[in-house]
Amino acid sequence: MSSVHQAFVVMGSGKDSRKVPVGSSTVVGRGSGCDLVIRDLAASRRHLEIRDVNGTYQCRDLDSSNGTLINGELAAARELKDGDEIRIGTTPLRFVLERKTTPSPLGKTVFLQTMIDPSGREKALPSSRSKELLEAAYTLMNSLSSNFNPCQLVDTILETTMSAVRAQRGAVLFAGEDHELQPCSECGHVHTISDGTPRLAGLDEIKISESVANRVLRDGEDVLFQSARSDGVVDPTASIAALRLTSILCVPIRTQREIYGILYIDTDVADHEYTQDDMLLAAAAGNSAGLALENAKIHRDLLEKQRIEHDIEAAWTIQEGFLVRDWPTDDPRIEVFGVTRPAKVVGGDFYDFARLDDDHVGLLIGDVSGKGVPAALTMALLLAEFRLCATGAESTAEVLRRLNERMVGRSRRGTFCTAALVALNLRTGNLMAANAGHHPVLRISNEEVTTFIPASGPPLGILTGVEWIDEEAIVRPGETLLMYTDGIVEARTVDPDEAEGREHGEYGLEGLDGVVREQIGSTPQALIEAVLDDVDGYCRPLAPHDDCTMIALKYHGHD
Amino acid sequence: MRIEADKTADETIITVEGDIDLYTSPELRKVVLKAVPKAAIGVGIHLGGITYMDSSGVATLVEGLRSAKEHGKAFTLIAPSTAVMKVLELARLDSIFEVRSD
Repeated sequence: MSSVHQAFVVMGSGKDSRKVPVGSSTVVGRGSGCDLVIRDLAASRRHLEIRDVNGTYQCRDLDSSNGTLINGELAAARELKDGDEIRIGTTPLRFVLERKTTPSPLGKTVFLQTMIDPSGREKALPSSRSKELLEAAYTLMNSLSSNFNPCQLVDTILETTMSAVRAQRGAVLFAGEDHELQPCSECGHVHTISDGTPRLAGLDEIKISESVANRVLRDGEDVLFQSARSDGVVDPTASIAALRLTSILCVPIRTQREIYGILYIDTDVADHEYTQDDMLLAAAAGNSAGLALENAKIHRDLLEKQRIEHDIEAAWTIQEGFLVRDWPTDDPRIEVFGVTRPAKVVGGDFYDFARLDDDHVGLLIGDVSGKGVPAALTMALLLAEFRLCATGAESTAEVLRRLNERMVGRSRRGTFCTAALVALNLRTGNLMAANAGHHPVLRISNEEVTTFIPASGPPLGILTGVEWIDEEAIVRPGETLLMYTDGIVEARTVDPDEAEGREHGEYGLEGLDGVVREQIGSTPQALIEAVLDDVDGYCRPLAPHDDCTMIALKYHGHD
Repeated sequence: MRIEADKTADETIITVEGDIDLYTSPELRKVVLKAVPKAAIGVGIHLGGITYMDSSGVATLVEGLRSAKEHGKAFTLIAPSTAVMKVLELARLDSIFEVRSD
């Protein structure tokens, strides 16, 4: 007999309400196999059944643990009328009868799509259930991808997964160095949720099946234990028996490379069992969580790296302070200017300018092998030692010899340093210079550009007992001396037209000579800025790959 | 980079082939620093098969040379390829190494 009415059970209200038609038999409960699944821990897996008996609707409590209230009264069995309130735990449901608009061609409306295949495995989920799981997965993905706080991540994973699989108890544990179980390294506690209440617990307070947890941590496998079926997924062990657990769901929190920890869920409620589908969701949560934790780790490493870079920048500011920047303006006999521009944040190039006495000045340029922080530290040390070695030295070669002996005693890992040193008598224009493996000095007059003072020995810091030779010359008024490092003459270009005809495609002495000739008569500062511009132009669109350093002195003569 | 050490004669010959760069030079460094104290008279580094050497390679050779001086051993570069010589000349180190053709 076909009724003119269609019966519904309505859960919730407003936009979030769900309305499930009642068929010839409709089962409501917490279990995933129910026609209407309710997320209420006080509900039993199969809590009650509503049957269509010749057009009347009979509600029967299926021996639930906590009973069923119909219109506020505990009822084992009762006929339902339009508008009746059915309460399971804290979840209210409403039974409604509506007039059918068109007669259903089906004698029974099937909402339950679960079918049992011959092997006994569930083939499909009720559509409402799969939607819930999808929603949970979506929530997880969203919340995990934007959070870099490990503690919050762990809480989200636990809450979302446990609510989706209606878990009674759960915890997230981490892997120690020897794959032992550890609390969260961020807060030192184990994140747990028990009967809906989150709690941070100590490691020794946690009662879990360690055999299962260790197995998941060690092998990275998902484990599902169901005591009722005990289908051999995992052997019931002593710890499971001792804790009287009925079902365990445990999955690794992992990436492809690493197992970070486990998501562990269990229950000791007699008829509460986790399903294969619960496990699939938990496994997806574990994978997402692994990625999210890895992200958080990378994010943290990045912050640390930025902090270090910031420190290095600060170090460079300090180091730059060692280099002279107050060029003499009170001596009409000379103009001096120098600059260093590190290729990395810090550099190993250096220059120095010193007034030795009223009539003598010293110019130094140097290049420590290697780049970055190690070179920069060596450079800082060398600058300090140079001042020390220059005190009381008879000649430029003597200064280099002293500097070399100090450096050989200290240098590690084959670090060495090229250096050229010039001392100029401002009264006479007499110059004394020595060169330890460095580029020759460029001498710029109004007529010509030449090099002089080539290296008379190897770089500093390699061998003891090395002697360099003092070279002497006379600098005429109007001449400029320019000293430079590798970064200038070894600058490279990616533009084949620019590189055309240059040896090794490098800027070279040829490039330097070209721009210097255009700057005859310029001040040292204008000269150096023009060279830097030209080198930058040569390297463009890249930046010069090595530190670029120059120091120049223009001699105007005495009186 | 491929390294072979041959300790048949008074001189331990270390033959290196390929590139000596930031990634391969630590291995060469280990082999050289281990060979130097054990060598009877000295160590020869055969560099004929080097296609590229950067400044970390230069530093490795310098460290080998310094270690040899400390131990009173000879340290010779054998048949350095043009790639090696170019770098040594650029660093103005060609004068500090003893070099022979084979």
